[in-house]
Amino acid sequence: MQKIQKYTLVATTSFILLASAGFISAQSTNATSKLDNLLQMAQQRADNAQQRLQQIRDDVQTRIKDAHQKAQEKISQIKDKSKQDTATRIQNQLDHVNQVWTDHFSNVLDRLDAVLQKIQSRADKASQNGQDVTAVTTAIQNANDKIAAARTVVANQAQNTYEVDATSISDADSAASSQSSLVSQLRDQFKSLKDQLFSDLTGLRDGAMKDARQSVQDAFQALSNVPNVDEEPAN
Amino acid sequence: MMSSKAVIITVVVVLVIVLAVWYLSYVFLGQMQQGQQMQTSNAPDSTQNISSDLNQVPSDSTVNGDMNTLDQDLQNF
Repeated sequence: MQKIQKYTLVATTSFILLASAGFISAQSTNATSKLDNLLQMAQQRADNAQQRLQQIRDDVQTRIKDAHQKAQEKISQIKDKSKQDTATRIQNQLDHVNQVWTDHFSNVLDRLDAVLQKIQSRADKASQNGQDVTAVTTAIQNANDKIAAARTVVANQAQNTYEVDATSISDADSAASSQSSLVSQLRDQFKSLKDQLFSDLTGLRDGAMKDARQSVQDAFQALSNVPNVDEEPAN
Repeated sequence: MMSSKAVIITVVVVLVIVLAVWYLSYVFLGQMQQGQQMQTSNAPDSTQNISSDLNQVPSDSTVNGDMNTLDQDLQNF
C-alpha cells in the first residue's frame, strides 16, 4: 500500500509540473504566433502575386513570339554589325526594363504588406491594452485597399508589350539609302516604344505605387499617435 | 489500508506542491511580462522596428539604371 501511495504521489506531482509547463509555454508564445500568422498570410499574398506575374509573362512571351521574330528579321537586315547589335539589345531591353520595374514594384508591395501586418499586430496589442485604435484600423484598411489596387495595376503593366511593328517597316537592301531608311524607321519606333514604356512605368510609380507607400506611412503615423503603443499586453 | 495519518500527510504534501508550482509559475510569468515590457524595442512589431522596416522598403531609384542603359543605347543607334 505504501508503494501505491508513493506512485500516486509521484504521478500527481509529475502531472502538475507538466500541466504548469504547458500553461506557461502557451501563454508566452501566444503573442508571437499572432504576428507570425499575419506575416505568413502576407507571404502567401506575395507568393500568389509572384505566381500571377510569372503566368502573365509566360502568356505575353507566347503572344509576342511572332512579332518579336519578325522585328528581329528586320534588324538582321542592318549591315552595320554594331548597329545591328545595338538594335537587338534595345528590343530586348524594352521588355527587360518592364520586367525589372514590375518585379521591383511587386517586391515593394510585398514589403509594404509585411510592414502593414506589424502595424496591425501592434494596433491589436494597443487595443488589448484599452487604447482607442479606431484611426489606426481605418488607416490599415485604406492601406490594404491601396496595396491590393496597386497589385492589380502592376499585373496590368506586366501584360503590356513594347514590340516593334515590323509590318510597317519596309525591307532593306545593301544600298546606303535603304540602310539609312531602315535604321531611321527602327529608331523612330524604338523611341516611341521607349517613351510609351517610360510614361507607363512612371505613371504607375507616381500613381498607384505612391498611393500604396503613402497609405502605409499614414497607417504607421496613426499607430504612432496611440499613447503607450509599445506596451505589451498583460496577457 | 492506508492509515489516516498517511492520508493527511499525502494530501498536505500534494497541496504544498500544487501551491508552490502555481506560485512559481505566476512569478515566472510576471517576470517574463516585465521583461517583454522592458524589451519592447526589440519586439518585431515595436514602432521602432516598424519604422526601420519602412525605411528599408526599396526606393524606386534602384531601377533607374536599366532605363538609363536603354536611353544610352537609343542615343548610340
